[in-house]
Amino acid sequence: MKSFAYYPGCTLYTKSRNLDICARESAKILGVELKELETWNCCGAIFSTVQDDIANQIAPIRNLKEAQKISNELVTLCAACYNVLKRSNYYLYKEGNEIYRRRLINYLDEEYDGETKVLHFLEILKNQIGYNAVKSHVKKSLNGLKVACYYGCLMLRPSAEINFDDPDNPMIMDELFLALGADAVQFPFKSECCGGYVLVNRPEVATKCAEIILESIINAGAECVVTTCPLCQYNIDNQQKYMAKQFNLPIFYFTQLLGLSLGVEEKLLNLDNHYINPKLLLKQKGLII
Amino acid sequence: MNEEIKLKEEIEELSRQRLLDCYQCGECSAGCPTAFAMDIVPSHSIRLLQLGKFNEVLNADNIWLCVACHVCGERCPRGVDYGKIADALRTLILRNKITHLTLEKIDKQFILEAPQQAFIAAFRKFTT
Amino acid sequence: MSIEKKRIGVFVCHCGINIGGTVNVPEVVNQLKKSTDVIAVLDHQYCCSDPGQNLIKETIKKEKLDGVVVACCSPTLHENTFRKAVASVGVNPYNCEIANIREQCSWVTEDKQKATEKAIRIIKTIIKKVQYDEPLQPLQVPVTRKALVIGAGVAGIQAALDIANAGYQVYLLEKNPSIGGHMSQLSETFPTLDCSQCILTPKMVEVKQHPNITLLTYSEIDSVAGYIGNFKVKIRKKTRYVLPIKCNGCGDCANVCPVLVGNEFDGNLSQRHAIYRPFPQAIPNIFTIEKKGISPCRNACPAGVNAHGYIALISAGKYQEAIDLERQANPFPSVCGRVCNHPCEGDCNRKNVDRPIAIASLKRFIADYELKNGRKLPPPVEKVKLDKIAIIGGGPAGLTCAYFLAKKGFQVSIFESLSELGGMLITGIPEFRLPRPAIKADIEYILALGIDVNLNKTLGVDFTIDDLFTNGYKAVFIGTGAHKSLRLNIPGEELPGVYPVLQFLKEVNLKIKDLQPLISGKRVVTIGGGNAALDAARTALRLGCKESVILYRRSRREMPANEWEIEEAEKEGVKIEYLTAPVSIIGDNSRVVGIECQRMELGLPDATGRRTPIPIPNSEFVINADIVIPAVSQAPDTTLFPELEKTRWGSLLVNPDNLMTSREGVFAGGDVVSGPATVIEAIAAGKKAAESIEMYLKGDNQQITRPTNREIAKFSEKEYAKFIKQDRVAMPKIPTSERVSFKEVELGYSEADARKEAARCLNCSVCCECLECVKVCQPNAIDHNLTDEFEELEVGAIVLATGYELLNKEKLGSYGFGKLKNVVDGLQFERILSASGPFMGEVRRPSDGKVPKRVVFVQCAGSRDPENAMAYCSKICCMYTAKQAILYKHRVHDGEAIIFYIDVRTGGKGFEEFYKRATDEGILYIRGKVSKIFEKGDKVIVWGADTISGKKVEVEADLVVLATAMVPAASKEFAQLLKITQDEYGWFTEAHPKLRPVETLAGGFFLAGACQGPKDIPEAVAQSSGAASKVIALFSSETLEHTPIIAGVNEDLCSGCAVCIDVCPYQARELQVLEDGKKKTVKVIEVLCEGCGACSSACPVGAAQQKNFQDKQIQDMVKSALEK
Repeated sequence: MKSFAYYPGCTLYTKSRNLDICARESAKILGVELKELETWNCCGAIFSTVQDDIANQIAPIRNLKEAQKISNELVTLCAACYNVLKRSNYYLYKEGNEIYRRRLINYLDEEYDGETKVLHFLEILKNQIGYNAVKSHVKKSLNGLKVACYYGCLMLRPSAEINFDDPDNPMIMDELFLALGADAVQFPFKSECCGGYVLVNRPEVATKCAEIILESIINAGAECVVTTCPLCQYNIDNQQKYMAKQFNLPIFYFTQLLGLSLGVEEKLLNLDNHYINPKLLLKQKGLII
Repeated sequence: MNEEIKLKEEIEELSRQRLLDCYQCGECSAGCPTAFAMDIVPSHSIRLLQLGKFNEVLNADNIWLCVACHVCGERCPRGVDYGKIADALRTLILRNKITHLTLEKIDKQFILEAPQQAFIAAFRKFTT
Repeated sequence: MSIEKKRIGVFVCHCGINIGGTVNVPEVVNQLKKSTDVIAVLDHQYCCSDPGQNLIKETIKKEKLDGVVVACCSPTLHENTFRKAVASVGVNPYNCEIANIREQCSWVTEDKQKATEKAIRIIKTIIKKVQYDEPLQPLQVPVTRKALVIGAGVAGIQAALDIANAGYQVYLLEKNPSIGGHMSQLSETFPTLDCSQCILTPKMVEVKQHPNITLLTYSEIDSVAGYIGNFKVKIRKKTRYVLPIKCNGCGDCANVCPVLVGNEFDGNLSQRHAIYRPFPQAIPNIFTIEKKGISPCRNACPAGVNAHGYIALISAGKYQEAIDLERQANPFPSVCGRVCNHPCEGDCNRKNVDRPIAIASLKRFIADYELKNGRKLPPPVEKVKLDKIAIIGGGPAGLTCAYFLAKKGFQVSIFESLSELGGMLITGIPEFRLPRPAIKADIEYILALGIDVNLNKTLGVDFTIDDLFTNGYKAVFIGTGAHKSLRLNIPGEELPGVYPVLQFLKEVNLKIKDLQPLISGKRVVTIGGGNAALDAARTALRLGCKESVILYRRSRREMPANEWEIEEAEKEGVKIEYLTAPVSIIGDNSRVVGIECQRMELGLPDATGRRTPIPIPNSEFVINADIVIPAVSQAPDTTLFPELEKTRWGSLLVNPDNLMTSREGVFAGGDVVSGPATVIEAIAAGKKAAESIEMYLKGDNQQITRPTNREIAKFSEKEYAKFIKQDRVAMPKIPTSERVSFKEVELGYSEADARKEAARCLNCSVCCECLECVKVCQPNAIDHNLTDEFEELEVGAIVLATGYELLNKEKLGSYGFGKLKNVVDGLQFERILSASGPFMGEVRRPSDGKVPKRVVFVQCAGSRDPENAMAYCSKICCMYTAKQAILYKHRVHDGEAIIFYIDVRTGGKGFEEFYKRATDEGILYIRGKVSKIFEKGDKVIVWGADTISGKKVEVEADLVVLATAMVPAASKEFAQLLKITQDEYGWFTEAHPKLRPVETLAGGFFLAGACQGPKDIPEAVAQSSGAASKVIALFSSETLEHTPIIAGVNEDLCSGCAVCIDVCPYQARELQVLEDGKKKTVKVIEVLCEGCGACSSACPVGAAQQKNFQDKQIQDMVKSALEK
């Protein structure tokens, strides 16, 4: 049983419990272990691109260092954590400026060599486990479910630093849902931004961003959406409240539907933690009773 | 004048972007998801910075609307990432102890609902 | 070696401050004056100037110099100048050398001290060289005064015409079927708006008619050898499968060709046939067949049926032609259309897109269609051959063998032991899968050829093989099949109620016994996993049994029966117990009551690759059964022919090459040889036997070789992704409720179904070789067996005019990866505008043929984009976009044209005026680069910006035209083949960016048109004429000077070991025998030697020496370079 160091991040410990739990349960079924770091702290939620802004790099780098106690491969789920951890590493150790690196190290309790590889759970599923293997564990096929895989920005850009998937047409999540039997609907806004944290200071702007995305998803004929990011999930689910048009699109974390089809028990999916109730759709598709 | 040169250098140092790399094609403004709400679109911002009209940009609204999605930098033919420039501009303001966002402004119910991530990010970007 | 000291003079050039600014020239002069190696040391501001040269000349005269060193810029610039100068005063030019103290010294440092020291070293080193330099004379080399122009676009055409008009022979080579290049695709040209074709075609015709021009179209360069003035070029003339001398371009062939593929001339916005002519004015005006190996379906068929052929014919509605083609390889369309296991579908490339073509169902369609519409039976074949041939066994193998022999005019007799022909088809396969009329139809057709049939004649009972020979038969084919059911070899197999599968099926199928009473209401258990087992189980259901169960010892994956048969059986209610094997059949007072079974698990794979079942200990259990049908396997009954050799499996042993048994003249095939196999394999065997028998009777016993060693056609992942998914047409079937009778389950395709299904074919090999074209070609110009030809040309100069392509839209991710139907590139829009284009000059959009009311043009799509695509400006886009917008407005008066641009670049005669005209015509220019293009409903949304007003702009368009970047057409491989250098983008590099723009650094190669960089038509034409004049200048003298700085051989030292011959890249060395007839030495072929020095470094004894680069010389130079 291969095991990876696992970094849940703060949001997955509170508002987005289901993103986390479904991933752990699915991993179990698929025969890999997500070993949570003994101690970890918040990654900072957004990457600071300001060159001398060392303070904001300390937290992520500490987590990367901590991971090495378990493994050099650190797995995350939250798109924001993935973005921040991976970019801190890149920024300081790949293209980094020696002066700032040294300055940073002074703040750390011990040296860090930049050797921790940051992986997203999707990368584990695709490259380490393999989608065929995932397929062979499917209990309930998502056959007939039209899913829109929405990636947002944090997973993809800047591609030179993140190097996760094609920033214009990412497919890694689509391929997963094809393997789960679903119909992965293609739409042109896969990697547009949901409005992100501007939700806090200018909600109307963020809501507009989310609305444009939902528009294109509906036009593509999808019945639901899957995301990897708590903020995306909130923006395109909860903000439907304030939209002129009634989309009524259920917004899942990809791990919820993954868990569902691998046979994780329903109560762990925490399907009540949604603004648009997803149960009706799942019932209608015979995926839950 | 020297003041201006210093400011320009500071922006370029903080953002690791070279302002004169921009040849004003406007692709950043074309792809920006929040440009519809901006008073000054990214390419215009960069132009003003090239012209040394820093205050116009520092007082502009757009830097508080940038979501750091980096579509601009991703597609820029000259490899200029306005997202990083905006980050630098915010930093300049915030380091002068001028905060953009205060907790009081935020709706309480919203605080209960929304994910932490949103607040941590917003406070990182908008407060001193 | 000791030679007398030369009188050497050194002249140091200041080159203004280029050298003088860094190198302390006076200091250099002073230092050198101290040297004993030199007579005179002088310096001058500009040695290359007249006064400078005069200084050198005067000094030579005054000091009687016989060696000169000029310390100045690179020898590539002024070596020639100074060598001429010294020659004019009687010094051998090869005793004048350049010491490069500019590029290699003054320009690479600012440290004056160091620069000065280095300059001195460099000069001293060269002085050493001159000391040993021999006086040399340049070699005279003859020039072949013929030119090769590669690429017949407008540039190549112009170059060829200019050279030809100067009176020299020109070969004009083009890889495409026609000359004309991209210009022939354009509608009208900027800024004059004259019709592209109208101004190009006259030139094309002139080329064709010119006595000095030889056209080599549809040809490629295979290899290039030699050097300037004397090239040897090997050309591959790709076959068109059409004889150019015979083809009259009438086009009858294209009219009958059933294959349709994308037409690249129209940017794939229209379709063309497999046999085609790119455009009506094509030169030469002949047709070309495109072939890409062999289609996988055709390759997979054991009988070599041309499935691709009849599928294409069906898609074109040519059903008779389709079935005729089918019968060329297989006389059982009606049968195989129903029960063939169709390996063709297994290999069909369409499976990589969605699901394979329903090939068998299509075959069945043409068979049924022919019958329904009153089939005409063929007339008996005239018995032109006297030989009589006997066929034993009237099954598929025997009948096929008879069919092909009868077609050849042999006298064929079939001997069948049953009272009906058909063999396993009638005894083994139930009617609900294969109705009797279907079998009869095929047999009727076969017998119509005139075959003598003897029923109820059993070998060994009614006659023997010897009888046949004594009765004058010259050859015998045995196709008696495998009709013996194998036993389970378990207790209880003797009990009544146990029915061997073949006996059971035979009795039902031939209606020998009515088994209804026996079966109905009973529990029937069939044992086995083959098609026979399924047939038995499904038959039992139809006989009204209570329950029909199949026991199979492996899992479904290993089941040999056809997947689709298993599905049907399950639908009908057959229960299949997998991983279950019988241990014994339990009887109670002499009738079957049940079977004791055992559960199995799968172990390692066996020889057949199937995993072997292993019994699970104490997993025994009993299932009830009234009737047990063992259907594990069948075997041939070879007791019939004791005299023939058998394999260890008891089947007949034959020579695999010609299917002859151990007895001369006796052949065999089908199940009797292979054991139980498929119908198509039996047919294949019958066919092969027929060929062998014919050869045998000709007295020719060598093996048959089938011509299928062709490459199997396939597509790349990218190409598969481009095909639009469209699932196969479902086969209509009768509802399971009606499956109590023996009515046929599958109803067959309707005509509409068949056309639709056939249209899914990807035409993997493009041409399907249905040979319809051959039938209609009056001048008999088509020959599908032609092959590529090679020709060797001798030319003195080569002009490269390979042109450009457009950047592939797929590379522009944020513009939709080329997936959006209504986003076209510049050349595609030219075709849309063109009167000969896909829409006959009406502006329509690809997706739905609607007239677009708003068209958005996007400039710099991949140009001026160092980060994501091409860094350079493609130069022509600003103008052609303006032109296209204007032409669009002319065609669609109420249409709206919007152009997104970064800068409008109008550097050219009449260009700015043309840009003004565009705005006059009401075209809106928006200054901003487009970021994202995507579909919304049937509109295309363009996200741009207007940087002038500082606004983001969203436009809803009907059609978008991308001015995609120009990229070089010539590949890296091509450039390497010719040893021509390319820049980072692949454009060919000129010898000097300003002063030698049409030459390359490789002597004898010249550049014309866009292969050197983005260009519009006038520039390309001008440059072509430039290249042509260079070629003409080269041809103006009969000989060429060839540098004498080449290798030599010291014959006293040379041992003739020939190492140098192997290392010489120019084949410039050969072995010779000296006069004395004993000693062998190496000889240098001087004109071929390029003086690379490989030989001297390889020579073990130092016999190979490079003139003026002798070992001793170099050693001294190195010494002085390293001197303290």
